[in-house]
Amino acid sequence: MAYVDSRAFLDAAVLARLSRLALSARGPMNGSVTGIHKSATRGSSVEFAEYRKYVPGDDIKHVDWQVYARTDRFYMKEFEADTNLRCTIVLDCSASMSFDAGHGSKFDYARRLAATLAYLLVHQGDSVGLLCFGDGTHHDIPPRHTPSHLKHIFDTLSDVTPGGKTEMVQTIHDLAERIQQRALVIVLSDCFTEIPPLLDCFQHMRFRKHDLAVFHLLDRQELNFDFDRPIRFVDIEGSFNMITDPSIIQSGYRKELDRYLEGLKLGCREFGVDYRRVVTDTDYEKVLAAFLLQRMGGGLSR
Amino acid sequence: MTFLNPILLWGLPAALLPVAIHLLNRLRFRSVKWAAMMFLISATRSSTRRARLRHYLILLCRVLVILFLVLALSRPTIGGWLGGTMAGAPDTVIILLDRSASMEATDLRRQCSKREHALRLFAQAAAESAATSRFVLIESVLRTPHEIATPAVLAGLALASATDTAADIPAMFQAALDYLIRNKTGRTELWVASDLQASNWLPQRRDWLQLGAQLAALPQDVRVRLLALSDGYQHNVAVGLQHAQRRVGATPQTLGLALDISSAVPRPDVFPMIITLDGTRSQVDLTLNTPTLHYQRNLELLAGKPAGGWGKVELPADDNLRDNSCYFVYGDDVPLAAVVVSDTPAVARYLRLAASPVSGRFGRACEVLAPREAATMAWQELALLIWQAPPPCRRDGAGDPDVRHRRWHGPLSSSREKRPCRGRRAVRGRAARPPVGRHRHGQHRQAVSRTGMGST
Repeated sequence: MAYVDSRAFLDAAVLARLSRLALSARGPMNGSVTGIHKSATRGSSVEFAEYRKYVPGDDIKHVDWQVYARTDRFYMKEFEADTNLRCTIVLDCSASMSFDAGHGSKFDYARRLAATLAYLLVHQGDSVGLLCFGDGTHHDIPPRHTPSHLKHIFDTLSDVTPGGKTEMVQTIHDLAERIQQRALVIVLSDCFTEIPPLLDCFQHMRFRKHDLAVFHLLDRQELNFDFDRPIRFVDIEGSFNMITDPSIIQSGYRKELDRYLEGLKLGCREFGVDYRRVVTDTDYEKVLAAFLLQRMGGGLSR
Repeated sequence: MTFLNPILLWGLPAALLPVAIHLLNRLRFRSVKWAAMMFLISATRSSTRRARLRHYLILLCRVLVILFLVLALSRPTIGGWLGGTMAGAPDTVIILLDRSASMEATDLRRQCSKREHALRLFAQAAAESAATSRFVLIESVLRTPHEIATPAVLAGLALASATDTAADIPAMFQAALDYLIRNKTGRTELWVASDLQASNWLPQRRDWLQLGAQLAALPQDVRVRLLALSDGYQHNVAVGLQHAQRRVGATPQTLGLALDISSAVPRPDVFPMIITLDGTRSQVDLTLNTPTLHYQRNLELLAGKPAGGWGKVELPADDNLRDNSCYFVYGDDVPLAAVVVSDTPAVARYLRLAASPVSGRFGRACEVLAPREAATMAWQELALLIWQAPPPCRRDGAGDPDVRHRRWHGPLSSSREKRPCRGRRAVRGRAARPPVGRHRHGQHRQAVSRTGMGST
């Protein structure tokens, strides 16, 4: 773990504690090697799957002779296949992720989540890739399961900086088309874009039978909007600015934000997206522990 | 409304502090890089109007809170009928009614005099508390407390009618104070109706300080409510008679009138003055360029007329009808007859000389009578009676009330010995009333005048 100690976004103690948990897929995956996840195809594990009729060309070693003795017909005994997981971590590197109200930016938080998840995945034998998108920033690392690949991911996470506008919708659409096999896609973003196109790309991802998990990162100040004097708000992704009295628009802001969050949550639930709203002043270990435990249980976040 | 701590009213500008802070905050803003601009823009677009209105209402509430705080610390006392309504019904209400002539000024809007208007307001104000309060009237003429059922009856009372007199407001307050001390009333209100004439209120009198201290020292709660009817006269010209003097030496005989004509504001326009003498009217056109005009005029008396007569001076109607006319009379000199009743000749001689130093001159004559001859006196013709003898008494020994002592002179009587009365020695008669007006020695004729204007 020499490459872990030198990363500011990795905590060895947290990694050690979380290593006891496994990151499970919610559905069958199409992996390249044997792993701990259920495969979409039949395999040679010890777990019985089903019977099917013999067809010429089948390997006769899977014929269930006891059934043949009773029924005088050939039936093939099939077993579940265990495969590995191909995961792609999508990290939003737009400038809005650099918002920092005093206890760390959303991007730093997302980077810790991404690095920890990548470590856990590689160490359980799964492949992990990284896609960083932003205005002028684009890093696409395909999924691999080797430790050297993990180091490459960490190096990329160290080098990348947030900036520019959000191109999240198009990026996810492209990714959904590009990933050929069933995979787990983990999105780390503040999702500051319109809900309908965002849900469209989520739906696209689900249509391609990918397991999609979204970590919606929000700062506490963005949720509460607790300012006490007139402020000139400068758009962090552009030059637009507006001077307003927060006490005047506070209720309206909260109402708009609640409406947005509720719409996004309902949309994600409708399309089977594992949606998690994360406030960045929360301990990321707890967030990941809850995520892993719920995945092990096979459910969606509520 | 008055304030017990008026100096704290200087803190009223502090009510503008929230506005100043609001403006300063608008000018002093800091910049924040913000990510969730989409919600900020939506919120600004959708709810700015209502939120801004609510914000300004909150600002207004803050201003009002400071305003009310400063006003409360200034300890306001609410006067007028609002204060009376909020304080509840008092136990006793003492009405101090200014009945001076100036209170008869007519307000053209109300079509009634100030006094009538005050009585009407009193009746309205007392309508709610009439069942629980006791009402006492102290008016400016008698200054004697009279308990009344309700102020509604004041309009029909002679005690509240118009007079031509002046008012002594400090004396009225003193009468009210005496009543409060004597009757130990509970919570009391003094309702004062006046037009605030300085000649009635006498602000230079030192009694006010003593009155204020005494009222403040009373154990009961006493409130003074002033119905100030101080609206000045818009158009009022007053006429007063200074003297009317008959001159018999000239031919034909004339009557010299000296009038004081005054107006609150100068009257450069011409207005008529009607002088009536023995039924004959004459008109004089006047202008008033100064507040006061001293006007003199000789009126020719008709030859062959009786020795006496009368007349009046009238001005056109204006706001105050009470000072628009004055009356005068004239006539021959009436010799002042005096009688000394004494049973001591030496004393009677000195008293006679005191009453009439030179018999037959200066219009004075004096006669000395013994007490037993007193019954023969012609009381109607007497101007002075000096009784230097035991007073006449009835058969039962009590003092004879039939003997009419005149206050305006007062009988000089002395009793060196008391003797019981043995028979009825009632002396009946009526002393001659002395002439009202100015009496000047050395004048052959004397005019008797009476003005119709009271002092205001």
